[in-house]
Amino acid sequence: MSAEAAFEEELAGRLAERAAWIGGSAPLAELHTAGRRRARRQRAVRGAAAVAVLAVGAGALTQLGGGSGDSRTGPAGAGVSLVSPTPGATRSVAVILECANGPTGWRTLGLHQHGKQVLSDSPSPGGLTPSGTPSPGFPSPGFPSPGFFSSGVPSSGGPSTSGPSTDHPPSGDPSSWPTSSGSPSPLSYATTAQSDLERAGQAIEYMAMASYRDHYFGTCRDTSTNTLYVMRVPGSGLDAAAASTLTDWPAVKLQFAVAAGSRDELSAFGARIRADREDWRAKGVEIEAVTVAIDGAGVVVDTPQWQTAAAQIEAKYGPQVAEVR
Amino acid sequence: MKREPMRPGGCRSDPFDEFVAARYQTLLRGAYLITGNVHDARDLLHDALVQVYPKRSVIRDAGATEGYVRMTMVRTHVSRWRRTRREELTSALPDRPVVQESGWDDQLAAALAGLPRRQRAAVVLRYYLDLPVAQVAEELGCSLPTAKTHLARGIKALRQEMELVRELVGP
Repeated sequence: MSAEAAFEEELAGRLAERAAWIGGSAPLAELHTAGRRRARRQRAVRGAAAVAVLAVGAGALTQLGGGSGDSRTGPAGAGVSLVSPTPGATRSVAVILECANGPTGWRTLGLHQHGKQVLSDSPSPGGLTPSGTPSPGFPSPGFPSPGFFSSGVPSSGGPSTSGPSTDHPPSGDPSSWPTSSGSPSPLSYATTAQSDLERAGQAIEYMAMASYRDHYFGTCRDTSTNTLYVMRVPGSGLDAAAASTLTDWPAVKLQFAVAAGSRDELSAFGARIRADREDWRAKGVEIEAVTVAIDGAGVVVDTPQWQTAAAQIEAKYGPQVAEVR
Repeated sequence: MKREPMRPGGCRSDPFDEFVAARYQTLLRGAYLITGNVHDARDLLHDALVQVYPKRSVIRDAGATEGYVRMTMVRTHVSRWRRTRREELTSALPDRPVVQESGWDDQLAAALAGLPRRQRAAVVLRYYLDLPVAQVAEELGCSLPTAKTHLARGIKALRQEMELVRELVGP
């Protein structure tokens, strides 16, 4: 036997002897109690994790304009699913979407889009670009009162100056909005400017959801002009508070858009329409999806009978129906 | 480990309880050699049993329960999280245990205490519990060559330490 093997054998014997004096009986009752407590805690943690994941997912879907189930999403995210409107989710997920030329840039022609304006009669500058992105100045179909107004400083070099803001009179008090440097960010500062824009947008999102939830709809950003667009119902201190929030980011420009309602309000409104689906079905109108327009214009109703039912739906629910398509 | 619904005698018996009652002492001894302290050993073993308890119904093979508990024990012991969580620097001296620790073979105890945790666990699994090297690797959560390295280094260090003491003290 080699010295190594002998040592291993000796070690095994000495280990056994060293441990031989250890004894005791299993405390089964305590183990059961602790085990059950651990199982409960694991279930609670898993449940909380599942809720958190769902909330984040729902928030992301809401922000990205995606939908689930039967909600139909228009091109470029024209609607927001109402399937799971989780109020807390949107608060915790401050995803500031990109909106070239402001929120109305999101509104794109749907397959059957007709709304309150006859789009076929409004050729360029409206219309889709070959890539499917609305060209600057595309009118917002069915948008009750887009009401853009500029902070008084033209967006530097960006096309937003020719956007809807020129078509609609300003509303609110623009006097206190911060101004920008007015010149486009140099290329070397593009990344910093973009992150500033993101942070500023998130700051506004959190502030507004915390303090002006009844008036706030959302915020989007236009990186080409370093501008934030705040969509809200006018008539609260939100505008001034948003301007005040932006003092930390002086280069970020601020514009406001009129929303048809707050995020919660439009979500609840959409839910009300969804609740009436059976009534509409009885009338021969199949409501496929109800979504909140991502630009805050109101609620978008998808139905194959849009040609015949649009007037009825708009008459019943009022101007918060942005579009029946 | 499947739970038996009812025994012929009519009383419900949890196989996990039976397993714990039967193997508690063996597991505790292994834990003692791994930790070097009877209190830490109990603590470690109870932690491992509590971790396994909620999963006892999904362990299909009753024979695997012991390995599962042991693996949980070893991995809990060597995890950095547990090590940092449990070690707190303090200026106050702890109360001395009333329980009389084994005074036998302090030379071995000192040599074991000098080993890193993984090496020590590997040595205990291999030479006290007589597990094959492949199972040592599995329970340590490492590859076979890594387990062999842990064992070789552990044995080498133990041998050096014990022979050094032997030379100093004499046979």
